[in-house]
Amino acid sequence: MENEQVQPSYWNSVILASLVTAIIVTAFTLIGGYMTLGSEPSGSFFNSAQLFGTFGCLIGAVGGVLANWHYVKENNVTYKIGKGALIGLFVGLAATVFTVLLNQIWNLIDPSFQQALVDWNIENLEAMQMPAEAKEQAIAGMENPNSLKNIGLGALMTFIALGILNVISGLIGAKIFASEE
Amino acid sequence: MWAIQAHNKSLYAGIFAAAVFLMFTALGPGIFGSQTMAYNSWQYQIFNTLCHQDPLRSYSISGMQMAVCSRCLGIYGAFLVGWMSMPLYALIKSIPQNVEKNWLIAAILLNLVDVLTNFFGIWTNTLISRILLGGFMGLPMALILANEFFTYNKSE
Repeated sequence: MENEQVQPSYWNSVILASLVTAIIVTAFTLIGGYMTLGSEPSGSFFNSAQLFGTFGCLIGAVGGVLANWHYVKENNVTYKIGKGALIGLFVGLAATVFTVLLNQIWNLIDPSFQQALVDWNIENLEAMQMPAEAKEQAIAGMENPNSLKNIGLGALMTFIALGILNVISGLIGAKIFASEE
Repeated sequence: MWAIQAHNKSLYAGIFAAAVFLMFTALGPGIFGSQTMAYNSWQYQIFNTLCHQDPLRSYSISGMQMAVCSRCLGIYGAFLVGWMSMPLYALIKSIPQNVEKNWLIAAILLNLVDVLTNFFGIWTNTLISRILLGGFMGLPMALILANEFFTYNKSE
């Protein structure tokens, strides 16, 4: 018990890294969304505006590294990588919550945004060369983006991706910044 | 005589399971023979916020687009390969951690240069070049952690 040290809380670092991650991911999603709305539905699966999201991947995964870096920098501590993974997991969870909240806030600012995106995608699907049955199936899956069920499912999917990637980046962050080596 | 010592076993197993899950999810609905529209599938929706999922920049299985682009597939695939080969890598590892860190930084920069030069029309990347560069980034992400999970003791 003598060697046991009480380490400072990491929640400030987790919340800061989650907020940075959520703000940037949401900003990139919104900018990509508005760029899509500004273009004509061409019947292509992919719109060049979506390329904007290329950088979202790096930003989404960097939260774990950022939180560990901030925690070590602020408190000058060392710890095992398991703690780094836990910090990364919390960043993934909190970033998911913040992302959902920011999206809902944006829905209040521009209530027509989500529905406009759905309408754009339906028009885009209708311009595609594919069987009518497949089109109907795809369109059915897009409806009512603001229902509680769809918001919950979207949050769960986002958490799975952000959670796993930030656990891994949390491990790497702890190894680089918090290792005793 | 070399004796292997494993550390943080539960964490290693947990990340291994997560990496396998990521890889199978990244392969998309085609691997299960599903004929669901790609972007209605749960695999596609999981990576929705992380990858641009451009069909022209993605591989397909059974005619179904994978859930991630070729670069992301390279990252996840190489990470899984690196994670599985960690015990072997720990045995042959003779380079200091700084070298792995620099390898990771170089791989990230190389991928950024590839994205930007392609964007500005300076060069045109391909499915193969993207998956290779992604793999070049995914591998050191796993290997940099090798001595946290496996070490070897030499005994007489």
